[in-house]
Amino acid sequence: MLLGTRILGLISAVAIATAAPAFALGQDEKVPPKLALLVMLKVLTYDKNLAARGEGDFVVLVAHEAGQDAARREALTATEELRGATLRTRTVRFRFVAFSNEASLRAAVTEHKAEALLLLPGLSPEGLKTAASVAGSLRLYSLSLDPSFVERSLAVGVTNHAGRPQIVLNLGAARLANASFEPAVLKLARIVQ
Amino acid sequence: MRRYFWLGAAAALSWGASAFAQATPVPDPVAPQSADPSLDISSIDLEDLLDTPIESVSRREEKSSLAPATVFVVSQDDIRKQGFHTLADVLRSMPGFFISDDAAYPVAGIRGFSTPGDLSTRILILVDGHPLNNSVGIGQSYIARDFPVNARGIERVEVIKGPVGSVYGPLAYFGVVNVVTRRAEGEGHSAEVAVGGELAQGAPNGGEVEALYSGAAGGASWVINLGLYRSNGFTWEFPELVGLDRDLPEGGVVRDADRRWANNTYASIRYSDLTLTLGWSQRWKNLPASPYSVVIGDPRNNFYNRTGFAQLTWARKLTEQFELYARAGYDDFRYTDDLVYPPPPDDAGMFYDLGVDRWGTAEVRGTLTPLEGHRDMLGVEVQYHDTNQRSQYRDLPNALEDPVDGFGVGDLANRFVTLNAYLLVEQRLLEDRLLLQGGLTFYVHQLFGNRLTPKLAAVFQATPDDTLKGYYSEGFRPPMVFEAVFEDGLDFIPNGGLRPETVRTAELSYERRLGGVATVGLSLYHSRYASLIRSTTVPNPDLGGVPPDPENPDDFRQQFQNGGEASATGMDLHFNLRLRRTLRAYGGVAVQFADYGTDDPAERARAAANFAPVTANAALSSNGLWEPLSLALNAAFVAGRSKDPDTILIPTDRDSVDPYLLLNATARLEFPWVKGLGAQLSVYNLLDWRYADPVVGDLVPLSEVRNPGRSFRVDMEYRF
Repeated sequence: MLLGTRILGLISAVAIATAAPAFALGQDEKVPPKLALLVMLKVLTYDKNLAARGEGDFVVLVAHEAGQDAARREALTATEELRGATLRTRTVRFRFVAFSNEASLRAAVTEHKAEALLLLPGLSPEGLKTAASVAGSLRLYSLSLDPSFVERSLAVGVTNHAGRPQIVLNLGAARLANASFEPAVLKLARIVQ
Repeated sequence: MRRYFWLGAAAALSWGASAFAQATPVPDPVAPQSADPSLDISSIDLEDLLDTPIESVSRREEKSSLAPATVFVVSQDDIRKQGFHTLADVLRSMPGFFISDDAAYPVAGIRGFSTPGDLSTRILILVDGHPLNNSVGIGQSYIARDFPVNARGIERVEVIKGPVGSVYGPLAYFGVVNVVTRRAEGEGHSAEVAVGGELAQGAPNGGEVEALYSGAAGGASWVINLGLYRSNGFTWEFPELVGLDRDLPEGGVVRDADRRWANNTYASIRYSDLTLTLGWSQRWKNLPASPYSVVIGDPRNNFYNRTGFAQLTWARKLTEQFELYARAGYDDFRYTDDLVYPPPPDDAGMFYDLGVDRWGTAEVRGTLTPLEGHRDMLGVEVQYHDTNQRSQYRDLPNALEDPVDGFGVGDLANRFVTLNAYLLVEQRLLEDRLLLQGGLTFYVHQLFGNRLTPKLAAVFQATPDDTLKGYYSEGFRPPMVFEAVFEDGLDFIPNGGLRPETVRTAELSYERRLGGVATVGLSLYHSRYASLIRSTTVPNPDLGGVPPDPENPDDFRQQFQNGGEASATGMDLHFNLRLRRTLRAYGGVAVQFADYGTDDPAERARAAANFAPVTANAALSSNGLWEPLSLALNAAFVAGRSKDPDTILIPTDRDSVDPYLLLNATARLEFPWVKGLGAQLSVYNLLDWRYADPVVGDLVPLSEVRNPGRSFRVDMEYRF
């Protein structure tokens, strides 16, 4: 019986090893935009200063440059699926704007009373610099669907770590936004400066 | 009762199946869907979104929902809020676990099984993946304050119930406990210091200092965890011993004979692909229950044990498809005890025992992902052990030193090599919804032979909320050096012919997530244990074939022998709930039946000693009243357990211990007006329940040890 079990185990392991249909593993995929958005918004609820920011709608300005059409469409789908979602009783609104310089981005933030900026993959280095500058000076949360932007200058992103989402937090950028995150989220995040 | 078990199982499965079949309108926060006006992001559980990684099952991080085993995790947040201070506290709250304590060591039982006197030789204890268990098999349970990390340094505790021999090799017999320690939180420095005081039986009796320092700079990060503990322990009562022919304090009340101290140090330093880990713990304790017929209540009776290790690991992804991991480690374990025997003829001063195991480890592991959805892992681990045992009077020569007048046996040295080679193969199918895993481990023990251990597992994620798991797994446990070679010249004789114990388990489990805030899971399993090693009373070989006199203890000796068999069938239900800050809860119920394959009532009772047919656990906490204040309650229920009939020498003794309910409560305040300052008040054994645990035969004529009752603890902490 024991010998039979061993042989069965050996055969099964070899059979599994040689079976090679190529289905997606998800190890190297980017985090789906909707999941990344949910995680990032959830992270904001761990900001000790969130409640002091105000009431009414919580507006996220989805800022993009010309040429980011694919990323914009993807983000549009994700935000549509989150339409009506609330953040501590505040309804989350996504507003899409195209910007070309700091002045136009500042104007859009003011117009929409945005409290967060969401930047999309494919943003130019100059656009990233502009967005970080505006977010810092206006104390906005800066969120990114490209986690590499967080390594450089934005506050919150989500990356794929071993097939699961991982929060990426730039504490310097978060401080500029007057955000102070609780240890509960810090311990789950990859921290960059 | 068996009928009710199957009825319950059928009902639970039927519920699960119906839930499975329904198009349940549980919102999936991730899958594409139309706009959901009711989605409250604050109410979604962040860890649920991230799906806390599990490292224990396949020796890598993976989604807990897809881990091919029955796993359960308790986080640092739970540990802090529940006022847990030792690993035993944490395990006591986890579904399927229970703790027994003989006033020397607390030991963990899983799914009803906990052999009296077994000091964690059938549960693999890991810290950050480093195995701690020594091969001697005495003197350390690793779950009390003899663990190198105190509760403040623990990030989470992961447990696997059931054998995992195909991944870890020996000792993962009843299950695995993996403690993941805290890591540095970003650049810069942070520290925590806590001071705690204990109050028991109406008087202050101990205190503890814990510290944690972490930092990161220049690409390196580090965490250092320190702890110091000292206590006068408890006053214990053994009224059943009054009137026996034995030295005993008046009324059987043992005072000032339960002092204890312990300290721990744990440091982890990471730089690039390298991690250096250093761990150290030592524990000294008096023995109020006094084993081996020594003088009860003598404050000179004590145990001492220490564990230290250093480990260097290196891990690098060499190509997109290939990762290499290597580790080298050195462990040092030492145990001693001092025991005071009664006046003449045994009046020869202090008797002492020594157990030593020093071992070096080298491990290399490669992980290949040649195709999407496919992963192969091949590893080999080699250990060289240098063990020694000694058992003699301090002031007299042992039998090796003086074959004529010597007493006791000294320096039983054994050196041996073990090799653990393992292969794990995984394939994901059906767009990642199906995971198939096969594993094989070939283990070689220079003294106790070879063993090939397979594992097969399938995990099917039918919907984002429903996961079905099925696995067949084997485990084994080579004899401990203590069991095979120990002799003390008094009671124990060796047995070089011992064989490894084996176990085979088939398990089916179903897990369902409810609304993003809760998870419930049900496991049904059947296990067969064979060649179980037990301490057995045998005729003294010095009699040379002359029949022993049942009235003469000198005609008998203790020897570890194979022979025990058992099969167990059980059901394990667990739940996890997180309703924002309003309620955090987890727990479960485990129901199991065991068949020992014998019609002899005495043999059955002997084999079933300390087996708990039902255990239940729950832990609740809430910040709902006021956010800085958390209130927590945890409960552990353990059904009545029988005693080993060989331990019942007092005619009035009962043959089993009663069921009990242990309640612990903690209130924790983080002062909102002083950043980083916190205070905590805990009450342990709130109901003051004097429950009892059956004990090993070494403690005769005691057959049980009763909990000393309610105690209190106050802690102050400062984080900066």
